[in-house]
Amino acid sequence: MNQKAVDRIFLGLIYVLVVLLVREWLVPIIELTGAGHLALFVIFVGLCFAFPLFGVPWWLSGPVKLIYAGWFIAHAHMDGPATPVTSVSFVLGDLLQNAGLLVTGELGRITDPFRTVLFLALLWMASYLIQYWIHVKMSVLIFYGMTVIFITVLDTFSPYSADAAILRVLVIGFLLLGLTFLAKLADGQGKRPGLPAFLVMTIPLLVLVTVAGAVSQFLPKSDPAWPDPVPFIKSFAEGAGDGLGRDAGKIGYGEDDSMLGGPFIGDDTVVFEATADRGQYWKVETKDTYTSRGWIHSSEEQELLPVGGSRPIDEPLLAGTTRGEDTATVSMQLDFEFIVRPYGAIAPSGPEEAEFLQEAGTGKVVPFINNAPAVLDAYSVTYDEPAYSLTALRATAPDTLPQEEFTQYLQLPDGLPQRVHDLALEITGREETLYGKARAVEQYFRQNGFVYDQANVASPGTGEDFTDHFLFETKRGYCDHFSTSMVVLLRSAGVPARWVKGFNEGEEIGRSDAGRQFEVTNNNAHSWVEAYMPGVGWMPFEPTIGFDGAGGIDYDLDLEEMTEEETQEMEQSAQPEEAEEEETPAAAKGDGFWKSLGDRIAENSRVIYIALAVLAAAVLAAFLLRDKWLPRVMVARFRKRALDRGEFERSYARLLKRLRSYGLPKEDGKTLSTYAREVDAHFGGDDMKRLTEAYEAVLYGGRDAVGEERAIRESWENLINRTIS
Amino acid sequence: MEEHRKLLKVIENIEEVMIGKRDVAELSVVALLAGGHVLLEDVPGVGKTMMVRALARSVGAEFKRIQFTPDLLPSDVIGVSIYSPKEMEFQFRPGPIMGNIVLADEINRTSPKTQSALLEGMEEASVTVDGRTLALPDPFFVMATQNPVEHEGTYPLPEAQLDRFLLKVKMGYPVREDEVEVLRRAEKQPPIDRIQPVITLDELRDIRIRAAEVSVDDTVKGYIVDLAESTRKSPDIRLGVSPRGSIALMRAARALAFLKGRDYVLPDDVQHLAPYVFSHRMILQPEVRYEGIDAEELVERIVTRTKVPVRRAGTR
Repeated sequence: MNQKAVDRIFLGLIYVLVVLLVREWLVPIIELTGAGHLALFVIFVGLCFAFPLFGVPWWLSGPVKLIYAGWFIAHAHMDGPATPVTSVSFVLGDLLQNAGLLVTGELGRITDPFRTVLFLALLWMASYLIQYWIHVKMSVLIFYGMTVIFITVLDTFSPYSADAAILRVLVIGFLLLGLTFLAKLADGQGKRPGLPAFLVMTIPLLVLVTVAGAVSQFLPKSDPAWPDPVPFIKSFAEGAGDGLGRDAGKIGYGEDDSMLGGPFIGDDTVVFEATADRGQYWKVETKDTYTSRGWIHSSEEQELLPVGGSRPIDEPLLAGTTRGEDTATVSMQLDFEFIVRPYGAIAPSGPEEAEFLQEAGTGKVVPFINNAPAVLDAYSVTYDEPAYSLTALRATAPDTLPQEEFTQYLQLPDGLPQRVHDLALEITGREETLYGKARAVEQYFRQNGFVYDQANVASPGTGEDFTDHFLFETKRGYCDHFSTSMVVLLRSAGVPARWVKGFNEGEEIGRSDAGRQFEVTNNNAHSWVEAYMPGVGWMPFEPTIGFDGAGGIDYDLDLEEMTEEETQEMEQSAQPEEAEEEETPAAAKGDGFWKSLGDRIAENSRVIYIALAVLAAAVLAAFLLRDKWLPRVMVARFRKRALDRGEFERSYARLLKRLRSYGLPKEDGKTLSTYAREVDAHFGGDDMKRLTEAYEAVLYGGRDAVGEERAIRESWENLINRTIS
Repeated sequence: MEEHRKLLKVIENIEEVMIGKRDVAELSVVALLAGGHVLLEDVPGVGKTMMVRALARSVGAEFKRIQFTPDLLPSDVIGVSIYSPKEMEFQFRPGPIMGNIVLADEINRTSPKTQSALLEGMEEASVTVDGRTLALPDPFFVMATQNPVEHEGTYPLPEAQLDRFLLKVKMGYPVREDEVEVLRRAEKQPPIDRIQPVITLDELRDIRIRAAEVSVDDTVKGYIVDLAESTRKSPDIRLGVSPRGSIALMRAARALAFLKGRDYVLPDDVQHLAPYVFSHRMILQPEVRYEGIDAEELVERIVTRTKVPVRRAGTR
């Protein structure tokens, strides 16, 4: 087999791979546009590469391609039987019609056949470009890189799933890079390899890339290190997100929760001020029906029941203690047709004429004046904050639950993805009590990379479930995300739960005899979770990161029966948070220091990795660019030093080193004067000769002083500076 | 440096009669300065005699020539005591070796006995006649020639005796233009007659002392030893250069440095002289000789491979 044939096989192999790579471009384009006829397009690309490979002259290849394109259009777009005559008239007629459209600029009305023509022309040009890259530059890296970017971008931002395509592109691309590199090597040798050498070089490459690609398919893959950027980018680009096009909302208490999500802007408008003994959550209402996008209440019409007097607002605590009755005084700044009340609320009191009615479903308490909902400026609520009995909570086995009463609190939308159910079971499976399950879900958010964020929050896309989107896609959101997700997870795990709206405790602004004063703003609007604990009642939970749990626990366990672990848990929970923070510096002594250092490193590992990466990149860049800056540093340092014998010898050695890295190495067997002649011949001038003669006098002649110091300095700097360029 | 100019003038004088052979002229002067002798290995008729005569005239030295033949006796070289009837005693009639500059032509044609008479004189700078030791004139400089082509009836000098010569030089034919110039000058008065002495013998003696004072840095000494060691380690060489060879190279390098107007030796000097100093002091492996590689080539190879010291010992 002659050399030409081997070359052609080699090039043919490269072209086949390139056509396969082009196919990876066509697949998503055709899939996304619905154009069809993938095979015909690939054949056209194949023709574009095959003709030049076999040296077909242009007057033959051009018409063949044109005929093929014409047949393609007629085949794909013509109705009825295609004879050559009808085909030609169809194609020509279409071309004429669209040419007119092109001239008048009505691009929107261009027909599909003409679009195909344009696309084929584009492919034709692209194949020329690729051939140029391969022939002239012997490099397909640009094309390969563009392919990878194209595929990954489509995979991320479009419905196209590139799972298999990425593997194909990987294998094809590495083969291509390897082959073109071999071709480059062969060119460098001035002689193309013969068939045996060609096989020896190519077969290991094929085997290696194929095996590596196959193995990579079976290896376990780690989860993405970063959350999916798309929701973030979308929310960034569009404000509130997807096609629904919501603007960034303002935080605050609203009635409509049917469409949750989207970013929020903070708002510190004061809603109310309250005086109470303790800071606590201010509850307004609950909702029971989750719609995949938000919350509504199951019954439109609410039965209104009067509260106060004999009927307390909150159901009495079934098991546990209370912290003593107190009265919270509220003075409203915004007009709300309801009252806010602490947990354990008993009776509201307001103006004489006001009557308080509670919606049976939501629990919202509405003041009525003259049989109409009214806005109260000030009112007070008596309450007795509950502490739930731990003993009773530990007895909340799932089978103690009277199922039928709670169907509305176990409601889930039909379309809830299975993975939410799976996650709920995964989190709660090991817990035996309902209370344990609820705590497990509450803790889940704190340990699995969830982030509290009001601003960069994406809304789920059309058809996506709100909780699914949050739990698996973004892991980023605010209280609505956490509380809704917790309710859904609890319901999936069979724990009755409902969604609670209200305000958190707000900011303490002062103290008076009546108690502590709190200012609650729109920023304090909040949502949390209540779960039903049989034998205890509805109990609040706080899944949102950064918020402190609602609902106290009465540690009424018999201490002797408790295990050590339980005691510890109790003590930890009982300690105020400040105490924990104070412990950190104390722990920073002795072994504790290393432990806390290790913890800190673990916590900030991403920052540290990034810092290390940046540092490493800087060092690498400095090293790679040393030819640019090192000589300048050397010159600056040289100028400062006195040119005694030792310094001169060191400087000369540095110069030799610089010249070597510049590409003028001194061979071992050459004397300095011979080398100096070579260097001077390269740069012109006689700097190296002058310098070398002085150096020889110092080194071999034993001179102590350097003669003509100025000239020597000048020559040295000249040479060092020349090594920069 | 006045002396150095004068020496250059000597070289120019030689060049007058030996066109295009400046390197040989230079080497001869180096050997003269270093107090060594030169072995010229060449075919006859390339101007060896002319060169030596020009050298002798330039330094105002007495020139003697010995044509070695197979029947030459040691006494023909050294001289002989003859009974003088008039004085009633033996009188010593000095032989041709008693000159300042001696051309020993075709030294390999004579018997080893006669050869060793000359070589002893070269080594000891004195000769023994009738039990008396007679000092040879100072300076005493021998330029011996040897014809490498003819082997019939020759007595090749043994290696141990070859190292009496400081340098072994091959002259070679002149290049074409130079030979044309040789012919042109041969038409006129022989140039040798026009050569005027440049320095006196006293001056020469003085210069030789000065040349021996040229300093050789330890780095350069180390380099010389490295080169000698490389000849001993080379697989192509059966017998490498002895320490006497290293000393010879250093002596020659001093003289060359002086000739170049320096008071210190450069590795360049060493590199330049190494083939002339080392090549006749080594015995090559037979297979290397059969391959046609000669000793000069081997030494040059060693020179290109041995690292030239470019830093003070002990510094990084």
